[in-house]
Amino acid sequence: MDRKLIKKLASASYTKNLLDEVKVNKIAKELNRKELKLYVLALKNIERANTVYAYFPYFPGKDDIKNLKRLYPDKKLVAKTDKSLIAGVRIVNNDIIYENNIKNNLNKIISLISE
Amino acid sequence: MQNSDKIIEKLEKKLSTFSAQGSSTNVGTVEKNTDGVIVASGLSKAMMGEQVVFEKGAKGVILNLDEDSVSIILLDRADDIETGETVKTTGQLLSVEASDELLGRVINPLGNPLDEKPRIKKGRLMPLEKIAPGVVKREPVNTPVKTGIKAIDTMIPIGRGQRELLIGDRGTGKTAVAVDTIINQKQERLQKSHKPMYCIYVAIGQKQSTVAQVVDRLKQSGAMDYTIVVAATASDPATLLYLAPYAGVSIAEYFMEKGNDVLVIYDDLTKHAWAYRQISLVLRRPAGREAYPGDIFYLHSRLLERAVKMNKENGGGSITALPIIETQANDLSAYIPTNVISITDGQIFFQTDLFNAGIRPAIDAGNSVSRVGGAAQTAAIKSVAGKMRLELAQYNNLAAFAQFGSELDEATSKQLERGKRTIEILKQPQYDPLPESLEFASVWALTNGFLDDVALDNVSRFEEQLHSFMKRKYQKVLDKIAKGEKPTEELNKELNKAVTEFKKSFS
Repeated sequence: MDRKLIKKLASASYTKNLLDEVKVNKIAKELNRKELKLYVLALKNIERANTVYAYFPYFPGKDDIKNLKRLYPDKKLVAKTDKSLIAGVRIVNNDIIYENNIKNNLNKIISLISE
Repeated sequence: MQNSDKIIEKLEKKLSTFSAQGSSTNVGTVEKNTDGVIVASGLSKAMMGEQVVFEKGAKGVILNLDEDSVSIILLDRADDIETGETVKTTGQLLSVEASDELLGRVINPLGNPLDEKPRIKKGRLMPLEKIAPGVVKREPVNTPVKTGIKAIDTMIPIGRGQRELLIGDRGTGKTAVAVDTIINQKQERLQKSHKPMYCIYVAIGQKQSTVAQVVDRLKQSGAMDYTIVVAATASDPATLLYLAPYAGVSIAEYFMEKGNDVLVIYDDLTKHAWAYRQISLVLRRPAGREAYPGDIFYLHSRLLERAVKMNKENGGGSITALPIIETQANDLSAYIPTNVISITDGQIFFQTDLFNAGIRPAIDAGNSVSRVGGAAQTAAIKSVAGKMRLELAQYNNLAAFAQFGSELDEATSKQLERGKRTIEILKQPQYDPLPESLEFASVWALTNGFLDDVALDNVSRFEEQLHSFMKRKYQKVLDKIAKGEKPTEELNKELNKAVTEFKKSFS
């Protein structure tokens, strides 16, 4: 089974944007070790692409989550706390990181001065 | 010590460029590290040839974009990169910082100094990969690059903006000719007959000791003032060897864009092809003939296409390329030599047999050609070179028959003797380039029969003494020749008088 087919199987393992355990078990039974490895990798990639992580310096309130949901309506949201940000937010959307916080600004100033 | 106001002023200046706006970064994760090639997932916004930075500070460049991953080659030795480590894009294509301060320096392809002097920071970022200027911006080659080597300047002239290949087996004097050409630019700078040339010597895969020798020789000759050495030695990673010629031409473009003429020597492109083959194989690109990848021709053609003579509307600068190719057993028909021969505007072929026979520079005139250099040759040299080349070709034909030992008529014997003297006069010691006026005087004396009665062993002594005699007594004649104009009847008479006078005193 080639990589493309395994990718198709991985995306078919979802029902209404949620991973379907029954489908996963059914598919996994049919795969050999190598194919299973690729299948797990493909699932991980889909999970990563479907999830947005948001880091706040404080415990995020309802408004914060609401705002994020408006920005990413089709994605699963995971809100986390990171006090080192001081103020602002860090959003991780798959392989893109948006930094809008004091910690990042201070780091930018440090690198600018040390250039 | 700087005063406090200045320090604060500097900091303020730096901070004025600071933007507090949010930023976005494209990150990936290292999946595999095999043979210096990193496979990373993520990095969906990465560009081909973009520079990336690893978590621990190591730098790399993207050379393959696959569906789910990218392949990165490392720019420095970093064995501590582990799977799971993050890697982020920089948004910058690989470039080198170029400035006038680079003159006299020895750097690596990333612009890091190798001469223990401080790093140049103020330069302009020049991308390593760039599309060569188009047809509209160019003009035909029309100005000579004077190498100071009689055999080249007379028979295989090189023009500014030309790509002339130096090809031959190892140890036949290819690098020596290239270094001589750099050294000769000092004379040209003093004479001010043309725009001064800046020189860039790119050492690819050579021993560090060899590069040190070249640098030392250039320093001794005072040529480092207008020369930059870009070195990726045998101990450097293949990536640096692959990037070295592109770094060289990028720096050359910096000077060319300012309207200057630049000479770039790539020593040598055989090792460059080897480095690229190594990279391609570890990147698992399909291998073709001799295991080289399919784009090996494009590798060299896109590099050498950047040699250019710009027209006046575009600054009038030029880049002349002297690539060097090392052959095995004088085989010109191998893969890389034929590729580069077809890309360049001519080649100078160095023969092992000639070298061993004491003919140095060991240039095989029959297999050497300059396709566009003739247009750049000065009228003075052109007036004597054609006759000499013809006589040499006739000699080579006759010499083959003369081997049978049959009796020869007088005319044939004369031609043979003239041919022998032509070969003798074209011999030249290393690191001793000649000004055009003296080259002309030698060839003029030869083609006008003044050497016919000089014993073969005395030819070099005759030439040496003729040069010092002319410089001592007939400097005005030499100055007239140096203008490069076609010799008038009057000038020919003066030369005749001078050489006849010299011959009387020569014993």
